[in-house]
Amino acid sequence: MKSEAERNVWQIAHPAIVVLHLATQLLFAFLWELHPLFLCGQLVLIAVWAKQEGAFAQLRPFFAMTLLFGFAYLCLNTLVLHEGRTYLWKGPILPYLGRLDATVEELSYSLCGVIRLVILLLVSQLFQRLVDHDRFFFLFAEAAPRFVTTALLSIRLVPFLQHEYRRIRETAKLRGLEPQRANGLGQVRYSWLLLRPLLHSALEGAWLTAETLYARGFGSGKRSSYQRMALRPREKTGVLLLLLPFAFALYAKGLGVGQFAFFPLFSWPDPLGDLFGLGCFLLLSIVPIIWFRRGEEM
Amino acid sequence: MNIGIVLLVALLSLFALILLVAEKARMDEKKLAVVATLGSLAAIVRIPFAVLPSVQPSSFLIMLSGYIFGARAGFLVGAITPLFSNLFLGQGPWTVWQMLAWGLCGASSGLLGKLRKRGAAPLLDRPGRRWLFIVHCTLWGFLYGWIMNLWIYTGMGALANFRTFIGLYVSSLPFDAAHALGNFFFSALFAQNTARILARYHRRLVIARFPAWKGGADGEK
Repeated sequence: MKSEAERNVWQIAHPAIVVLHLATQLLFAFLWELHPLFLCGQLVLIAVWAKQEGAFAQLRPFFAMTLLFGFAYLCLNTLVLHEGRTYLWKGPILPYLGRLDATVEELSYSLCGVIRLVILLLVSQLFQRLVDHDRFFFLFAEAAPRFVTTALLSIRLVPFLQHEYRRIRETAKLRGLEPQRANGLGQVRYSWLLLRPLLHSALEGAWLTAETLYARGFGSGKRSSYQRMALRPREKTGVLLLLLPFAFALYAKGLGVGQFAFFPLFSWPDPLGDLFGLGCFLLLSIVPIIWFRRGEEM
Repeated sequence: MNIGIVLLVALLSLFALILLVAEKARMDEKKLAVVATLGSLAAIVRIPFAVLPSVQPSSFLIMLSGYIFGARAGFLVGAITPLFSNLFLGQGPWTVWQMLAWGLCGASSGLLGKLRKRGAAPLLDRPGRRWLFIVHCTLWGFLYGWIMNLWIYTGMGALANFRTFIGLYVSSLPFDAAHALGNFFFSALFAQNTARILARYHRRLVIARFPAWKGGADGEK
């Protein structure tokens, strides 16, 4: 668990509220279906939020992987769908799949799918950055005590295993075992050589952990009390503010805002209305985030 | 109702049900600590292999844990592995699906372990048993991918139909094959020795759970 000074404003707050903020963004990504304007608007909002929270640095290693997966998704979806009319390419006919083709409509539809994927990735990174995992798991401690204890123990064991791995590697080096010129299989064998004592050491460590658990009375009966985190008044107001963009989205959808059809040809009945709707929606979405940040910083 | 939503609800209910069964099972502190350790190890070995798409040494460790320590332990190790490794690799809606897929993978290995003769050590020294485990690991390379494809399929919304379903499964075939091949190599190279190590701790676990002064030693004969 991080110290008070190391945590950001979100990690101090009730974890359920932070998760609710993120879950709302996930819901919005699906609520507007694949509307390009709304998806782009939401992407900008989440990207700015992630930048504000300093989540971009963590995102870099996953970006290349997402691009690769996104490109594969783009190609596959475009080839497999048979909906558009503006053909870019007509390919062979395959059993079950029918004719492989690419149309502008299919390509745009798939591109919107990739934007939604990037939104999911950004929300996922925000989850990493904003949620204190320990406190988040504690929320489920009463409902699933064994699972939560096991999961938290797993997290705690990592520094121990990292330390053990370094120690085992050093010992192997002292014995002259460091295959710098080994080929792929040699490297795998070397890794196994290190993994074996690590496994022994980790399992011995598990024994000590079990003794500690036993000494603390684990399994002697049902735990009598659990740490409960209460919602502060400001957080309750924040939940109500979160309902605003949600209510607006439902109302606007009822009025016909956010209608866009890709197939068979592009059809966008009211671009100006959608632009106005997006403006209102983004404004209402920003309010709970700013409210929350300001409240915690004060 | 959309087939995607039906699938989502069905699989999440299944996951919740299995988790509930695992939660209600009698599990002492020793087994819990071993499960946490194996979950942690399986999660850690996943991180350096993340650069190789679909090659997952975690699958092998989860299956071996299930094979040696039983279906419930296998399920828990499988469920913890993505929960923890995704703290590094990225959490998302896919985490629950990975928890389910790997959980089932560990639980099924536990059932495979039950096929051995009653009282026999859970080792993989006999070629027949070893090959059965290797085939099981290889098959789960595909099964894991097929379960994970469902979460993409459920996200397709209105376009989820038989054609997109087939297309999705065909396109994932190379990734699933890479996972299966990885599982094959890991289990063929390391299963026998790793099983010996885990079985040693399993024996200690069993002996510790039935101390002689409680008259449990007879139960072990």
